[in-house]
Amino acid sequence: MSADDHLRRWLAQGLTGCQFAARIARERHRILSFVVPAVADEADVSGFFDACREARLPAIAIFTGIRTEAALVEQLARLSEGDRWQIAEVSPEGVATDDVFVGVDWRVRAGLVSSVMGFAPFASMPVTRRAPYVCMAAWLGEHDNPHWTKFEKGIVHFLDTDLGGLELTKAKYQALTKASVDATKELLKDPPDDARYYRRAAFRLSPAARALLRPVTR
Amino acid sequence: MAKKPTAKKRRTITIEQFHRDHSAVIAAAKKAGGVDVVNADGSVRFHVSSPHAALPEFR
Repeated sequence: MSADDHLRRWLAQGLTGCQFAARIARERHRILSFVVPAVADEADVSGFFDACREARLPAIAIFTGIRTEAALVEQLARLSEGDRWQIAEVSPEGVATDDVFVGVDWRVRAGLVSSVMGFAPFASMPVTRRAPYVCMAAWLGEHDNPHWTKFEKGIVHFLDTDLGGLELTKAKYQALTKASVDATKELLKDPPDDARYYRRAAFRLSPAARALLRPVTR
Repeated sequence: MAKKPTAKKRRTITIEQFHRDHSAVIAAAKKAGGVDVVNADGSVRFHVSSPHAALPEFR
């Protein structure tokens, strides 16, 4: 099985907790994947994100060659060479840990960034983001979800995804939102964790990664 | 004598095409198997795809 097929099936199982992601993964032509076996050039990942914006499809970049936190930091360093990327340590409110929370933003256009969602098979990652591969997923469009009205003006993320293809009524959207919240809470129960910590954090890494990240974060 | 199975040729586009024509990339990615984006020497740089079929087992 190819890495993109494997990841798609992992998402379709609902193991992120997000029932929208599960539905999107089950359909044809609802996501665009990029699979790279080595450290990817910044221009290639940005080019892929631009293609996803044009296609109006969520993007999933899968880095099959990344096996360690150090290799992930090397990839983040490569991405930070481009002026559309902002890699920063973030401090979620209420979390008591020495772990490093890393935010990854990509500039969609002037005045709008996409908050990238990270996945990685590292024990420091929340279980809902502990995918079989290191991945960066993003919505690169505008605020295209008519059901989501509490959006932040200058930021898009997965809640802004155009769900038009799923043909959801307001009641169905609300039911899937509740099911997503419930499933995520259940998955993050043991060890205790909280989805709120990861709203702006793509990756949660061990404290040892902090020194490696210092030259990368701005 | 049984016919020897032939390896299916993978769809490719060059890295220059990838950066120049996103519409072509998207169209190729949506075909079964997706598309390999290759360097000038023909080596695969990365792969782009979009699921070609729904997953019936989850319906």
